[in-house]
Amino acid sequence: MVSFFFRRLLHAIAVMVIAVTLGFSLVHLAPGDAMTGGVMQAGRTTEARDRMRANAGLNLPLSTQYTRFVRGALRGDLGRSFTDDQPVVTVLWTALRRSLVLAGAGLIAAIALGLLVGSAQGWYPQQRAFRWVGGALTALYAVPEFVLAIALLGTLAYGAGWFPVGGMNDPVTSLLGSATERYADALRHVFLPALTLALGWSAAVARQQRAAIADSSSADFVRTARAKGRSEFAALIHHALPTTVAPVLAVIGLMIPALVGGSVIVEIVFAWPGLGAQVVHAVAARDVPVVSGAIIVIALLVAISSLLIDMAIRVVDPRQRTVRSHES
Amino acid sequence: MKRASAVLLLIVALALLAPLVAPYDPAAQLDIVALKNSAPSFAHWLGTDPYSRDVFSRAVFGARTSLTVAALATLLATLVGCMWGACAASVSDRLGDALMSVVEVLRSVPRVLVFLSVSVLLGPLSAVTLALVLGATAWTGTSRLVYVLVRDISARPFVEAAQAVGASRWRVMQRHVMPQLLNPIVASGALLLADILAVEAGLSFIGLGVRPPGASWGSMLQDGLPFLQSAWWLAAVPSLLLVATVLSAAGIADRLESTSAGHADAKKRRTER
Amino acid sequence: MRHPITCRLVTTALACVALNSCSKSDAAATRSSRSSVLTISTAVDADALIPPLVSTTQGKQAVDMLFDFLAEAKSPLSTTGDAGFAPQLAARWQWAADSLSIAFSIDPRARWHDGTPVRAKDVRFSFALFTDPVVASMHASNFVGIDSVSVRDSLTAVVWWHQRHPEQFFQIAYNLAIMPEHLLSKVPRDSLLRSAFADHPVGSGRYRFTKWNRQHDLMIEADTSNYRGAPSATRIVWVVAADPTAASMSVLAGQTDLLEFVRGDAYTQTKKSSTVRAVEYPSLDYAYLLFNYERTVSGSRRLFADHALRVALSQTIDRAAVVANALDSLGRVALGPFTRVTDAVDTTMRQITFDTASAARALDSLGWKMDSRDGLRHRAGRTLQFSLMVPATSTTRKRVAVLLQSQLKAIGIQAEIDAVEAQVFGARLAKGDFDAAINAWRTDPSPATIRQVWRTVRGKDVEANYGRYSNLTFDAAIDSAAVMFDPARRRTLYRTAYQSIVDDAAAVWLYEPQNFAAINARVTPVGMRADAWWAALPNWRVAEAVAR
Repeated sequence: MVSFFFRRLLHAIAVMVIAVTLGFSLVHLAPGDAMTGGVMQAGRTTEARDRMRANAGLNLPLSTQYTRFVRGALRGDLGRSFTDDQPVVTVLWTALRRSLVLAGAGLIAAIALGLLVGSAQGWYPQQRAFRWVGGALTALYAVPEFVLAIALLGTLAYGAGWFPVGGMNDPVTSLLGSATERYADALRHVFLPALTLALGWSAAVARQQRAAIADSSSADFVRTARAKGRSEFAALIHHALPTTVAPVLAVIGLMIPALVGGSVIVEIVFAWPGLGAQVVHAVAARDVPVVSGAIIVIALLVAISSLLIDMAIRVVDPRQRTVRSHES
Repeated sequence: MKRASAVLLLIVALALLAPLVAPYDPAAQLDIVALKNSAPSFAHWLGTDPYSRDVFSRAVFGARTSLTVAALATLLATLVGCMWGACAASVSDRLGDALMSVVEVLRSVPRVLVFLSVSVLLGPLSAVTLALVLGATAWTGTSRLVYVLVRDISARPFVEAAQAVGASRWRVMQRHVMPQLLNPIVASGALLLADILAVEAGLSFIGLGVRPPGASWGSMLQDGLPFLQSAWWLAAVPSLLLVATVLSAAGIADRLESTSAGHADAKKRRTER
Repeated sequence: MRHPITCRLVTTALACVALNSCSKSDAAATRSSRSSVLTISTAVDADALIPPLVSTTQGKQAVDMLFDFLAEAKSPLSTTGDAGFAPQLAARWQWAADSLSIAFSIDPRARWHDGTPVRAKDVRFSFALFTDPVVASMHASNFVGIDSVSVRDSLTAVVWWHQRHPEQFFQIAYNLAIMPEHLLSKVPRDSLLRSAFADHPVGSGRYRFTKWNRQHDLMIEADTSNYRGAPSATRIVWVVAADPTAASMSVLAGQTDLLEFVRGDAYTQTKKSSTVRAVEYPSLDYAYLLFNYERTVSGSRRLFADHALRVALSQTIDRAAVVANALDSLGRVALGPFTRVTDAVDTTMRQITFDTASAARALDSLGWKMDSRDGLRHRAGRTLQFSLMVPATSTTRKRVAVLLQSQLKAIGIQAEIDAVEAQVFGARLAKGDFDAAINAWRTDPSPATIRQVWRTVRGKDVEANYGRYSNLTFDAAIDSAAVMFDPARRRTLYRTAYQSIVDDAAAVWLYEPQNFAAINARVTPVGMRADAWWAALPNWRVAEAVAR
């Protein structure tokens, strides 16, 4: 267990080193530096710029600057945005919180939907309806997220008018409404983007769950439970479901990098002011500090959550311990 | 499988024969005053766009861009992936392990980060650069697949037997391992193609893809989005083509996978995009 | 482990139910709270809320609500003399006998939002801040010719000029937003944007600052005890949408009350809507194909400095068709660097007409020969091509760029569209980092300020003459016009200047939009001025929401 953890930690550190280096090289390779690339500097004189460049340490050797950058990153200092001169960490943290809300809602919905459909398919392999639903999910999985997003937006928001056409909340409600109003408003706004993500992601969970249930429904302990006269449903809930937690967790772990990519585009279609939208905006604005900061933050997020998921799998399912350590 | 192949073949044929099939020059603005956003009609099967360009012509030429980029990227990713995986499987355990660790690390760097970096550095990309970037970020899955398969097959009794009777390593590879690999690799290639098509369209959609005025399905979709209510065909045509292509490629992959040996691992791969 | 899973399922299911039941009661509840709130939809966030550092209209809108000016321009705006102005922060003013100074008496009732009274020294301080080179305000040039501001007594500020001209009063009263010295004097001038004031500006206007979530929303609220009276709407909120389409959708869906421009599809839908109206207001905007005269393009040094080439380019563009496509009936072909409502403009003036045949002949004689293999023109082995920069946030200009690209291609010129984010667009214009760009300019109400954009510049500071255009005939005529007190002679001089710049094909004058704002029927706009539709925003009436 300890050696496994150590290995995973090394892996996460390697990922972070790559990300930080990528971020640093961006700042230094991208055309224009903080003093010429910044929009805020448009009217400044050359002398003023030179002075600021020296102050910012841009004349130091590259290796020194790299150490500075890494030290800054470790302290949580990622520089300032070119476009509005805000600390990058502030900009990203604001956006990240919003993204986590959406991704969290999407993930929970995806797991719920996936488990439901997968279990049903696994438990009742002959049921036509469940097979169709499963097939539909698989098809939706192949459909690019933004096409799905546009389709939902076009029909349910623009067409039927049931949902707001985008954004995270109604600004007036969020500023002036009561807590209940704000909650309801937030739910209305998160519904379509979270549904888009969930429809895309649930197929993977469903597929895994179906296989796991199908395996375990023929397993000894389930048969024993049936023999003891418990109902099919009770057997499913009490015995079969728990054993499938680990594989489903594993699927989620594998999905994490994809979740990031998927959220970016869904955020854009639904005008969700999260990390994805922020980053795309920053790319278009050539706001290099924000982009490089975002790369580090996203990599950190992915590394930590993968690590957590791996640990969770081992805690949940002791069998994995032997299997994995054997493999490595 | 048959239906999926037919759909894919049809779309590929349209793309290949684009200059013959397309009734108009895809970039020609036919009459910017009288013909903008005109609905599908006999003269313009799929209508025209805000610049009075023929949507059908743009769609088939867009297919060229989208499919070429995706095909190139898939080819690149498959080649690199196969080579890396096979190498890792044929060298010593420790070195192989190290090579695969590199894959594990690369795999956990979200692709979107690479695209963002490249876009910041280079601005809008040419089709070839785009294909290179897409390919360079897509090979890790294939390499894992090949690594697992090669090791798996090499451990089977008949391979061990062949080695015992003194067959050379290369010969064993050629005679016994490679044929077993073909199917899963083609399956994973088809899946990659579907995946890369979607990613490419997504990138063009958020403005990080092919430079205008070159049409790709993603950029057509982006152009059509503001007209979702008044000129639905602008977004609908590229969406449907994209979905049809992606679904049929995925369908073919699925069928190939289930007939091949290493399908469990290949299926696991699907979750990694 | 079984519990978490079942619990999750249940909570999600409950959430779905709650969602449906809440949405109806929610609408009724928010209607009452939003009744006196005015929400403005925008695709671009304010850039700053410190007047000298504001460059976006969104920032200007908020700043005009938060801060006061010495006098308030009446509608319609007149820029000569002081007849077109009513008291604002200055209760009255007194011209010196030689007209070289004006003494403004500050309204003694005026208070900053923190309760401190407004004093004459604040006027002196604000002038110093606007004109300090360290602050590097893009508005500093508005104060050229003003020598200084002195404090006669605590409530009297005197503004001094080097030389008299017809627009003296306008120059100071219209441009100088008054800021509190006691809050800003200790802030380092080169890092104003990092100060606490930047995050929480304090003015003396009829609205006070509430909060600003960058790229999301900006809210201000009524200053109920303001010396000029409490405004009508209790709060104004700017809501930043992801893009222009989303911004217009939110107004059409009734989520927000106002969008300053609607074009194309959104205009058609506004016309059809029963809850949202399209309200026209006069426009001072024009858009043009801007050339960078200094740039080496297609291997030729200062390519666009060639008059014959510019004329050929102008003849290549079918401006009438471009305008018809991009703006429908909502725009007209621009005549020059001014609009049809600009003082002294002769709408029948001579124009360069669409004539591809003579454009082709001109390009041939300049040595740019058509190569039938690639359909492009070449000279000395170089292709005639340039990049065409447009702001990605402007749907109309992006559309126009694609139309121009195709028309240029038809005559053998390759234009590569470079769509960049609004802020990048501005920065690159200022740095001269472009070949050609489609720029839009909101003309200042004062015709003399055309000099900021088109007068010859020397040295590093280009003001807004981003392409470094130079035309000495134009300069001479416009300079004389600016200081001419006789209306008839001033008019003649302006006409000479205008005709000269149009004949010179300084740019391809593309379009002059007609402005339509989409405004929810519950809002009654008043006093929408060409230069600032929001000028009388505090007086707009906001009623109960109209049922959707």
